[in-house]
Amino acid sequence: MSAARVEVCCGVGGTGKTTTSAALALAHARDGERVVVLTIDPARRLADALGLERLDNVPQAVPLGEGATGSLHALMLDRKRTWDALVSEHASPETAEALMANPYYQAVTTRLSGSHEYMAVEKLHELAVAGSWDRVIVDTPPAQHVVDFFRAPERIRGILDRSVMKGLFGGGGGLRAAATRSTLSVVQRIAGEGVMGDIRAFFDLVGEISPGIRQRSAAVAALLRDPRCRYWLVSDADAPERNDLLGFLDELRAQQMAFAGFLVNRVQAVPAGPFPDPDAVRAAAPGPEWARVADVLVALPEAARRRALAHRAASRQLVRDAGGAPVWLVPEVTGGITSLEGLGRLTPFLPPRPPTSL
Amino acid sequence: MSLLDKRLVVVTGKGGVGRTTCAAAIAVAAAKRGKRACVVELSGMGSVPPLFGLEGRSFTFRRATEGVYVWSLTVEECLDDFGRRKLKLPSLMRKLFQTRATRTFVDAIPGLHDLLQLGKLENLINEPLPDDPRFDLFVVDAPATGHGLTLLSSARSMSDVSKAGPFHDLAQIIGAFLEDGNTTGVAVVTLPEDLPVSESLELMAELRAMGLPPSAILANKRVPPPLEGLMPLSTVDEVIRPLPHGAQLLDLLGMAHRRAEAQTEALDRLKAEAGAVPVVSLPSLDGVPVLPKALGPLLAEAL
Repeated sequence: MSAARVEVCCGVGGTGKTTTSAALALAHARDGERVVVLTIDPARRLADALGLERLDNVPQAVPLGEGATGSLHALMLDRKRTWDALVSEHASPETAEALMANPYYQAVTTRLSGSHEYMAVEKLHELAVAGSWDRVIVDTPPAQHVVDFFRAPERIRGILDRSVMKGLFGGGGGLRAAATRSTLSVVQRIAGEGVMGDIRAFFDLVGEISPGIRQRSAAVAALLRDPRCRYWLVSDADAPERNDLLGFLDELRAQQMAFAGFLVNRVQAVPAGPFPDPDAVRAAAPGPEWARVADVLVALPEAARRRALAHRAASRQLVRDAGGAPVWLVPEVTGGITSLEGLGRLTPFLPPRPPTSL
Repeated sequence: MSLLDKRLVVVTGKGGVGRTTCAAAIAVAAAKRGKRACVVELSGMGSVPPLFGLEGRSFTFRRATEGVYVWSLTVEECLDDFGRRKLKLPSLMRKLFQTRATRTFVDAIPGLHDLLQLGKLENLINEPLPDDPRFDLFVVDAPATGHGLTLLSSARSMSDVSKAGPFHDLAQIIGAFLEDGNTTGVAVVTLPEDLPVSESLELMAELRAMGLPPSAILANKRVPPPLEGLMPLSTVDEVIRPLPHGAQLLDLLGMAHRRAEAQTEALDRLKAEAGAVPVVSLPSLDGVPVLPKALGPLLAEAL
């Protein structure tokens, strides 16, 4: 394992994971580190915010400006190209070519659920062992459950593992083989011979690369469990998705993976005040329609305070349910993040700055 | 043709926009029009029943409220359905579907889960058997992965893998079923915010390219400007600024106003780009016990 530290940002979709990953990366780069951030499903605006034409499958330098001691690179996961690279590394040129031409291979690499997650982990491994980075920051694919990130690689391995399919397509004897063959006849009947031909060819080809892939996936699994690899749970202040986050945390702990803390986005700041006396606001009436305006105005501080307190209470509850954990509350930024400066507005509230005391 | 008059509505959109809530609200809206509607979950997550205050998942369809039912479809039952209706296999043979080897095989085929689940709905709509439940409308909450495109493109991805045979035939049937605008509608859920609007415009372009133009766009969680229609901000500023601590109050007002203005701009852009597709703005509601029941009537009115 190289010296690179790894930070994995997990969470359900729509919580601002991609932006948080980019802001974390910027914070560490400004602290003088060589940082690379792997994004999964970035909006075009993130590339703009980072000052890049477009995000690519290879790391591109983000201009940090004069006097920067660290460096920041960003890349976007390209599932297909990452699969192709993996296959090219482990197979003879002839096998690789035949595999890439197989329709089933193309479907597996681009459409099979879990493929995205597996390739993210694969790319993460590649970056972590490269030796060019002090820190690798990873955004995770949008998933219904945050645990999908860990389960999908297993699922893909299960599917690629030839032994599972050997029973279906291989020979052998005995009662079990007979039962498998009758299953095969059903499968064949539901799928049709064309599909079976492509799939059989696929698994014959995969047979050659599967020892390599199995070895690699063991190295990837070891990386995910290395203490240098830490996990952040990103959530949204208004929709904390508590059960999902806690389920994920259980999974992390069961696997003895390092949980680093909660990053809660779009938190309402506690209004500073003091505010005008409500009676004074009502008495200021410039005309008859003022009463309704005054109702709105005097309710504003209380509404903001209630929302701010609700956000804090939800975060406290999350921390309590988690059995204690550090939490960073990141304030809401109106108008969105459109530049490196915009991203920089988030960094004072994120690691490596100290957590929020609740 | 109104979204509510279709037989199947697929609700798409990114995670966190309230897609599931909107799917449930569409069912409530259809029920308001006197229809029998069923919200179908394909993920087995069980996130629909709690929206109606129900506990647990519903692996058989279950009444949620007047005219609205919830149902979580499993891949197993859809595979069995496929074997029974399309392949006409006897039940003894379908038992083999339940073996681990078959499951591994089914899991290994991209898009097959989606296709089998859509296949079951297609059967219920186009070729119902006497013992099938009858619904006027099925509302499918598409999984967040790929904003729901993975589900809608499952027929196409199967055609890539399978050039002939039963899966190929199923893919053809589902492809035609989804593209039939009289039966199937696609609803796009988004937020009235800059980034989500840009993303949903991209999603709409992709849907059109797939031959599945959206029938409605739902912009969820709209917060109107605090003084909308009451008084110009400049007048309020003149009155409040001289008061002690008036500036702090105006700061709060300004922030709330800017947030709402950004939403208005995003909504206007969405409407301008949507052309003839109706854009329905749904309010952000706090403290409502059953959100779909509050939003459903608004949808019934707008669609």
